[in-house]
Amino acid sequence: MQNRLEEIYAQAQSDLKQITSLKALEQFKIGVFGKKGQVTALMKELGKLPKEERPAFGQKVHELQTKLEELMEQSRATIKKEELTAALERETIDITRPGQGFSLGRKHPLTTVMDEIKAIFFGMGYKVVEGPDIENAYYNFEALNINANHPARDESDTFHLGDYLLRTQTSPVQVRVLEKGNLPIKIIAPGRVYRPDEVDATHSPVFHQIEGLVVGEGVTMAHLKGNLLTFARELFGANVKIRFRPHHFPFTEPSAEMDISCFSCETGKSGCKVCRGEGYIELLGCGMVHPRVLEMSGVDPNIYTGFAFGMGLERLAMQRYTIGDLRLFYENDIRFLSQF
Amino acid sequence: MNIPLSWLQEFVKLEDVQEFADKMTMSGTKVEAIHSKGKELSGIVVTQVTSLVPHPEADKLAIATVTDGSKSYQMVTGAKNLKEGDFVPAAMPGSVLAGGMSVQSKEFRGQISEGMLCSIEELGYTPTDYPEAVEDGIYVFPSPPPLGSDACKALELKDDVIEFELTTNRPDCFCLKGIVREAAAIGYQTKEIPANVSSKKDTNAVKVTIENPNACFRYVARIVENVKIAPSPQWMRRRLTLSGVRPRNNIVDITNYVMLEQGQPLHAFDMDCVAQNHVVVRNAKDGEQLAGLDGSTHTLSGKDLVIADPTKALALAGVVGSRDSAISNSTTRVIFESANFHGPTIRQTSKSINLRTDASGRNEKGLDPNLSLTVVNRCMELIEQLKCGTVIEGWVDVYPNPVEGHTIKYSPDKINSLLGTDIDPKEMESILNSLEIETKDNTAYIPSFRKDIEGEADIAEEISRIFGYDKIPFAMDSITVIGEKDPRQKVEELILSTGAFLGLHQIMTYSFENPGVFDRLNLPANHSLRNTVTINNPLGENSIMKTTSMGGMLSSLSLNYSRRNMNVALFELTKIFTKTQDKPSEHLTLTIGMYSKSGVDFFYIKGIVDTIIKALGINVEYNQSDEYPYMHPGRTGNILLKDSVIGHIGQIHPLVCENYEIEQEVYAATINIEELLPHIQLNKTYTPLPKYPTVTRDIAFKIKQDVSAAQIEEAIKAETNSENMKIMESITLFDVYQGKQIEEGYKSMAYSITFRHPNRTLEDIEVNKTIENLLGVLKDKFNAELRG
Ligand SMILES: [Zn+2]
Repeated sequence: MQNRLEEIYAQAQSDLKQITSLKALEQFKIGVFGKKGQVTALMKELGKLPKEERPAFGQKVHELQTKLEELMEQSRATIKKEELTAALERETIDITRPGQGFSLGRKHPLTTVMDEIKAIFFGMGYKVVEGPDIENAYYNFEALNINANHPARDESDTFHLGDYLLRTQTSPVQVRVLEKGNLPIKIIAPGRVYRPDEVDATHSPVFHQIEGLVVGEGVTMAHLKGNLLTFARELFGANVKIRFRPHHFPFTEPSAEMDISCFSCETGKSGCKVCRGEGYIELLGCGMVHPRVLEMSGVDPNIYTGFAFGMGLERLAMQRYTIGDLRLFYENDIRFLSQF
Repeated sequence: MNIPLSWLQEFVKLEDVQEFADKMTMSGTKVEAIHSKGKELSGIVVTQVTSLVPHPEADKLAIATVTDGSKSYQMVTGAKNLKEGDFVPAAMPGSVLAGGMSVQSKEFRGQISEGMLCSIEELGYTPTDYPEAVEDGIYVFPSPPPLGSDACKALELKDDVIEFELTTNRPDCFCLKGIVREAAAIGYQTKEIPANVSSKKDTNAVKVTIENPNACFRYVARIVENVKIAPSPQWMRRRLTLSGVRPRNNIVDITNYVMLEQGQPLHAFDMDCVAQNHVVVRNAKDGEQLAGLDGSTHTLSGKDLVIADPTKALALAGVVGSRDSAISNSTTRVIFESANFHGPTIRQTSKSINLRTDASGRNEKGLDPNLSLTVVNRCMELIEQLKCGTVIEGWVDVYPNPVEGHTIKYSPDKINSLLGTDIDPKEMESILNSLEIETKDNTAYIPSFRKDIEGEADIAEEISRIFGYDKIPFAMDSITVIGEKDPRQKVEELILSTGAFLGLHQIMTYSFENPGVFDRLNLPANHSLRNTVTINNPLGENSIMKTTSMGGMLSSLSLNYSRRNMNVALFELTKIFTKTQDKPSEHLTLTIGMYSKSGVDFFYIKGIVDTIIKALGINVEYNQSDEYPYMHPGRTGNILLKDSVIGHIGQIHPLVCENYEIEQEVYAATINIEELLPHIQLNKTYTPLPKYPTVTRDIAFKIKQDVSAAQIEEAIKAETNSENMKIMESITLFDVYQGKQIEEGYKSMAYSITFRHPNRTLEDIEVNKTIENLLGVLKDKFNAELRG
């Protein structure tokens, strides 16, 4: 009897070695524990044994049962692992094949640069204000201290629309904000401006400017310098150097032009295309708001002072992306647009 | 404005040109460039021709032997103007000529040329600069310089020219004197520019009458007799040329030289042409003609000012002289006019006859009338110095309203608080004094040549620019304004970023266009879009402000198509302009346009529009429309927001595509953002997530072909909105089928409908009942039949 138990166990051990699928394992299980299985047969024989032998034999069969179940469990684990390994192998793909094609759109490069500039000033506490493209002479010229005899008033330097005109600068927004009189003022005014310049690589009759205006009590030229230094560092990096050169604008006094150190060559190499060897690039015009401009818009220049600045977006974007021809911005070739 | 360095150095003690340029730039007189003239020339020496024989093998060549004083050289030349004994510039082997051409020994038909004899052109100049030079001939020195010396030096060929970029408010700087004055202010040691004022003595030799003292503020005349017209000396011609003024003859050159030196243009004319020796400054008669020195005949108007005699005009005041009264080789008596004019009048004339001269460019800026006598006397000095004629004693000076300087009170404290500086009031005074502005007790005495200084802010600028902008500290203001974006800006940003996410490329087009756009869009003659805001002075054909953004979009698509870009989807956010009774109005408009080789269709672009609109937190509806002439009548719809049309969407009409040369289906949409703005909800509040699960049912039914999805949806919504059926959460059309399995004139539509009850789990029975009700309604309304 004892021998038979050992035989069954030995047989099971060798059988299980041959089994490589869960299905075969199931068959094997039936062969052992099923209605006609070996262990079931042993249990049946148990009844034929003398009463006193039954517990000991029963114990033995139970032990065998447990051992066989352990064996099968081991076998099942092995088979599962092998099957998974095989499946993973089968599922291997060529990951060098191209990805699913999604089309990615873009903002226009001028928008991207404008957004960047807006974000910088926004972070410095400036509000973004916009004004109409169609203006009248008062807002575009008179209120900015550009009198009728000023060369900027030449008929041929402005697009005229009957009683109105296309603004030649974003500065009229300054006037509109000053007129409202909600002081202090800290704004930037981005927008389109228009001048009858023939189209070429550096000129366009339509272009964009960003204007800034800060007016309050005790605003100084040192504040102008501080604000614009912060802006330049945000836009061009902490190492950028700036310089202010005296200049002339009718609506500011004192007036300046701000240059930044060339980001392409840094020291002014003679072959540099960006700065033409000067080491500096003209970035923007600025100055202290002319007292007459404040006065005309109803702001008392004896109490309030302020500064203003303005820059051209196209030139900035051209420098930033080393674009040599301004016309590309308005041509809208998707091969250009998709680069930014 | 260009000034030769050598001329400047006569008055300003400066060694380092670059440092000078930087300092001038940083104090407001911008140096745009330093041009090195004749920089490349080297190895050219003064030689003398010792023999000249014909070339044995070539008719057109000659062999010259020249000496540099110690050695002889053989040179082959083709020039015809040489003779033995001439002093000529010779380029020795290894030397470099104008344009960088280097000279080597070379054989010409068996004869060695040990270098090259030079013409003035080969040295980079023309006979205008060196009138003694013969055109196409070797340059021959009129008076012999030392043999073997540097020919460039003898001819003054090398110089640096400083180009200044000056601002319009500083006409006083447009001359040597102004630059010297600025140099002095920033600390350079300078010498006084000659300004000889001899004692006043009237002359009767000429009479001057100013008829319009509002346009001519001063007129000074002096007379020179026994004039001998000749070229001016080389040093003067060199300075003129390098300054960009063409030398002509001694008289004209002197006026130009003084203009460059002192800043005021002068005019010299033949006194024998002046009837009754009487000069009259008057307005032109309408239609009066004047044959100008520039070569054209100008027709004048009453706005123009002329210098005349009692019978005829002699010059267009401050702009150009007449041909008849011009200095010619036979001129013997000359009137030197030194006048001061009203700038805008000169500018008006210059513009109306489309002629800008050195004189008009200066006069139009408005010059200092107190300069007039000084400059004409300076001319007389040069006349005597160059021995050009006999200066008649005395002058005529008509100056009805003499101009004086003005005073400005300033407060050093206020200036410091404007600049954010702490400049000592004494330093302020010394800066102002250095600019020839006298000061006393915080009052500045502004000289008449500085009309640009009008108030305290200008005083602050003068002080700060000489003090140095770089010495003003950097500081941050304490103004706090809440930098909030307004809803329009937020919406613009949202549209742009959503559009880009959806695969669209943002474009920018001009705000104006060619009115031909309306024909390309097939708009009938009376279409409302043709009612445009028009530009009076357009650049080329772009004469109207856009009333639709469709033309710009199609042009951009067309450009891409012509360049074989296969898949193109664009969008633009721009203003369009509408004519109104009053000021034209501006509307922000979103336009989308696309074509694709891989096929886009109506529902593709509709999906994009829906998504962008959804990003803005609103819902729109659509209805079919055939009212847009540039759109496909069967594939176009209005975009509706609360029953008002805010845009349209669809396929571009094939004929319009043809006009834009796009041989593919083009889809486009345009939306007036102004109408969206009031409805946009950007402030979000959280809605709790539903607690109970949904039940989804798919139904398909057969329905007449002409029933639209919108009609069905509307009917379903109306039904499910009723009180007992509020459990419908969403409805999605997922299939539309027409074909074999459906009879002609019908279609199958399959919807997925989702139900949910907010407070409990739904039971199948109630959902089934709702569906049954729905189908009943659809059957009643559209005769729809459930499909298996
Ligand atoms: Zn550079």
